[in-house]
Amino acid sequence: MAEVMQLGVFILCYLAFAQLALLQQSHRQKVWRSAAPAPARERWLRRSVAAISFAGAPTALMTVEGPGFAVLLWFLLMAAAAMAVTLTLTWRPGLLRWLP
Amino acid sequence: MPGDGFRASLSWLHTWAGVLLGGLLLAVFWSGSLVVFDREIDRWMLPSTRLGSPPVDLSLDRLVVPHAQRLAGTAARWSITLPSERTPVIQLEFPNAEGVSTRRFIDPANGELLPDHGSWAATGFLFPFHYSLHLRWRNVGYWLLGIAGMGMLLLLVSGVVIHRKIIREFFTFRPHKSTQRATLDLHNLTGVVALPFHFLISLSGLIIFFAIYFPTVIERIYPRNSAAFSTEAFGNYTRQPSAEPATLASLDAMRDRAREAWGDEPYMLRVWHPGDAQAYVEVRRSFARQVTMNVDRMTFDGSSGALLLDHRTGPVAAIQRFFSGLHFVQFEHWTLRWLYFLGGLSGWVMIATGLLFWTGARRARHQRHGHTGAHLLDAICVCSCSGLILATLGFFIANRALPADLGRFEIDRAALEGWAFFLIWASTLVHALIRGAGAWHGQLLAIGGAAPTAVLLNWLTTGDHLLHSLQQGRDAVAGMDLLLMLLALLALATARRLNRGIANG
Repeated sequence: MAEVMQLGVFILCYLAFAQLALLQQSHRQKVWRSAAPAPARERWLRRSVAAISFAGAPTALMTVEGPGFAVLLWFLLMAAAAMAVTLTLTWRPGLLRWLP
Repeated sequence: MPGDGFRASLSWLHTWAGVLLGGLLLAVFWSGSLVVFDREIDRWMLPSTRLGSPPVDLSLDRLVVPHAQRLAGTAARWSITLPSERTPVIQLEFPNAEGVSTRRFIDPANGELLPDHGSWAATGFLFPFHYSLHLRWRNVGYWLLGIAGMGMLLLLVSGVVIHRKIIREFFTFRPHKSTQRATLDLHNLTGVVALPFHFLISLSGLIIFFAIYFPTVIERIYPRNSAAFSTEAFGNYTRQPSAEPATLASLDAMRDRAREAWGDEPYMLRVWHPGDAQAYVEVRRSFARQVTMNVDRMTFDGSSGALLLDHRTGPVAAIQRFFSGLHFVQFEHWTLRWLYFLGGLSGWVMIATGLLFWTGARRARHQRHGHTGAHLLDAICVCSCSGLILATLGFFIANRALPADLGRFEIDRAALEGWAFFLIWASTLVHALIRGAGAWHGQLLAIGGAAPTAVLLNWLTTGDHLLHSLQQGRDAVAGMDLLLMLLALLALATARRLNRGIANG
């Protein structure tokens, strides 16, 4: 159960960071080749999804791990997720096209 | 000299703090990453301790006390560390006749005393190296580490301020651009992404040794009686021996009473003045299931078994012990353990790429003008990165290659392993001073050869090849072998890439 939750939180953080990365012009170009800047509505939506995901991650961890482990796991899984998004954008940016 | 303005000043500070402390920080982060798995490395280095899961309940009176009384003799104290998920043996620790701390391991299934391998292994060598560099004279090592920790905090804060495109380049890594560009990207990426981890790990490292770095705090609050601080904060209990003999009461009964009071397991028992009527026994509570390394301990009379002191962690001590626990990673949590390992290595990469960027930007200019700065830093960087890895591998190889019975010739086998580490490390510095940046290729190839050699020697000396370790459920040994093979592959791939880079000009 705990391991499933940890994997879920990692995926949640990965998706949240990916949403933020897809707001940046240089990464949008890598993902969609010739992408236009994100419209205001898309920007708002992506930021909201990222914020909810980031807030939801520690809450979910807290229920299974307790506060001490949850906080440590949260910022370490966030770091791992941010690194994973960066490496995806470096070597397989097309994969992020599948994201909504 | 720093330029005008806040950012320029911090840039100057970031550069020079990094240049001066980089080598030291690399050693600390490398050893820190390794000791996250110190118990697992111990299983690899101490083959007789590769046992299955320990029994749920065991009798200390029957299995351990006879060994302790025979081995420790008239020692002023001896300690028993109970087996756990990561350490399947009972550890007995006592000062020998010369007063040197000695440890022996006992099989918890049958009480058999396991053979002494003559090795400090990771918990006895790599762990103290991480926090003291084995420089005990006047606490020099602790102070160097304190300066490094403080410097790391400065480097992190100044790094955030001077990074002009911290948001725009948050997810940026361009390995196909110039080497300098890729190096700086990697430095920024590892620095920014794992910033909270690096900050907390450096800060908590300083907080652990607060009594060394800020002794005046204790002296001010407890003038003329610093022992009172240890009693109030950590529950230390002391009394002098009476020189009247007495038999030791049941340790099992004391352990059971502590277990009942805490609703949790003890992890260690320490007997003071064993055999004396004034003997007392300290029972410490486990922190396997929490970040905070609690200081809950119950102290019992050694003769009657009566409770003398029941100390619980106070609120202020709990804050200090939370930071200590956050740094020591003594809790049993495998996901966090792996994340700590990767976080530590990311810090190591951040420091190494920072140094490489500095030398890369100046190497040609310094060579043109006959300056030695870049050459010297190249040598420090090589010695602190590939050199330190080679020294570690030399330590592992010495552990498996040195004959087990060196004690017969009155040779301290454990010390020889330590000497192998330091001599190899020193020779990598000499090599790097002679070859400069050119030393990278040779040392990476040496890593590519040394790591599989360690794996092979483990197989030859113990019969535990990778498949056998996996079949026997010896995950620690299999994990160590796998990581050594991965290290060899990474080193060879990097050497190949370096070669290609040189060939392409």
